Amino acid sequence: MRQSTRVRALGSALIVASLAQSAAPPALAALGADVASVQADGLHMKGEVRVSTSPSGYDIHEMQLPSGTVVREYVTVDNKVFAVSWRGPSIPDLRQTLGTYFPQYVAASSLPHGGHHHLDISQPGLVAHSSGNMRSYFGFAYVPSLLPPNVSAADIR
Amino acid sequence: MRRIIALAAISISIVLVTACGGSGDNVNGVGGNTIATAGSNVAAVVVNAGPTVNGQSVGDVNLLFTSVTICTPGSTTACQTINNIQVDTQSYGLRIIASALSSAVTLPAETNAANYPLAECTQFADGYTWGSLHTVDLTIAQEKAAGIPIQVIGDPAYPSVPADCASTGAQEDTVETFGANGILGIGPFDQDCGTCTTGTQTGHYYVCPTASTCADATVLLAQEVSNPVYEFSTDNNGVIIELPVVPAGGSATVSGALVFGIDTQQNNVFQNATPLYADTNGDVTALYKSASLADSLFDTGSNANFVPDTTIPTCSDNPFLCPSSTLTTTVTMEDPTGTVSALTLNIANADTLFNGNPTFTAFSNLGSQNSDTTALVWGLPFFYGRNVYVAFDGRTNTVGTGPFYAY
Repeated sequence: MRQSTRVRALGSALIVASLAQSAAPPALAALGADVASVQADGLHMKGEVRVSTSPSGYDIHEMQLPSGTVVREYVTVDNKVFAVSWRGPSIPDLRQTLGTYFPQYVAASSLPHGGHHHLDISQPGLVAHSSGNMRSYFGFAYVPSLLPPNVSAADIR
Repeated sequence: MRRIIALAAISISIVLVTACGGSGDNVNGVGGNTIATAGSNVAAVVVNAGPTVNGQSVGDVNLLFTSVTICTPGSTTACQTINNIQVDTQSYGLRIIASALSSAVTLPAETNAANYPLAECTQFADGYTWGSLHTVDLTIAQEKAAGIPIQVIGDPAYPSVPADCASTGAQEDTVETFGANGILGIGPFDQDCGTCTTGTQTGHYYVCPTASTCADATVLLAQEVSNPVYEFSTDNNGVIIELPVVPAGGSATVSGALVFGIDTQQNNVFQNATPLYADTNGDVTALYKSASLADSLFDTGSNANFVPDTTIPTCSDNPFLCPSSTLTTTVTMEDPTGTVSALTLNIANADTLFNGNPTFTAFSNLGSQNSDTTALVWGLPFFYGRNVYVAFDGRTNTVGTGPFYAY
């Protein structure tokens, strides 16, 4: 299987390149998974993947879904997805996006909480947030043990 | 999250002392608001512990409820009144948990052109509700919306949740998991999903040739579960949420009014308020500590003021904020027309609030961390002591055409 194309950082600038024209289908990997698995994971998301490299050295794979929602996946230098985020009019397929962390996300979401427009999960193996309303949702999830040095939750947007 | 637990001993004296303190609570028009008590367009609303399941409250603090009456379309006798319906200014449409419905009230299924029933997966930030669509004649106060679609959440006739619905989060299809008998979405727009009429849609509306084969579908705009106030024959250009002051130590319960219409009756005249026009998502801008937060909004469905400020300590045993002493900050609200409005944000220590009055359900200075750093959400605490106008998109009143908020 073809590996995901990486766009190298030039200087400290954030370089963005569209991979829509590349031969392989656009794809995203799941939280905690290896980027080598991206093709299988992302096929049904049906979006265009753009890859950028942050000044800190990790990659951001960004895809706009047909719904208009933008999903970002944050990838360590050794190709592990350490965080994901989403923003837009629909919540994305979280079973796909969160991968093996989806059951933990759902279980934690089911704990008592107030109202339906905010959700925060802070567990040893998973930190997640979901908020917003019909028309405009935002959320992210990351695996604390996979966060690269000098990267914090504030970097995941 | 904290559940409401009834404790025998509460100290009333503490409440009275803090109620008189008023530190910062009476600025920016908080208090002194006149709450409508009578009128064909006035529905009673309450903040209380919400519904109980097996004798246990399933509600939480700062949740606003009302009652609705639904009838079999065309009937004036096959009707039932359902209480503990959460009032939400950031969702759209009436959704009722199936177990709260009486079998004596027949609700016809909403169908597509092929006569197949329709269903919906409603995405909330904390999970989804799955259920079939039915038509009802709705009455709130004395306002009526005839033949409107509602969602029957957790309809036992449709137990199979489609995979692309279940993959959006946790299932919230019971009174216990939803925390209410239903929800009344009366935000500043008409539809929950204006784009669901075209293109490829996943995880919103479904057509169900059989109960176990529901498939993603587009639906007609009129078939979407929509803001029912738009369908009233009068008083249909907006709503006003009118709640009394809640003192700094909280209140056991709160009673107020949900008034339909703006400048349509003597009891809903627009007064002493400045309109803040919202964008296509219903958002306005908040300036908070030099940050411009463009996705900010006013939401009765949020049970705290949600602030993106990691410098404020969070509580160890609940999801709220626990500063060592009450924080007071000025927040400036802005809209694209240049309107500027300064508001005072008070955030008290949530542990102190809850420990001081364990049975109270209303707190005006409850804060929570917002991990969305583009939004300051004024939740139900903001609404205490104010009349808050939600002017609907495309509907005009004497001030202008919505969507806008005013207070």
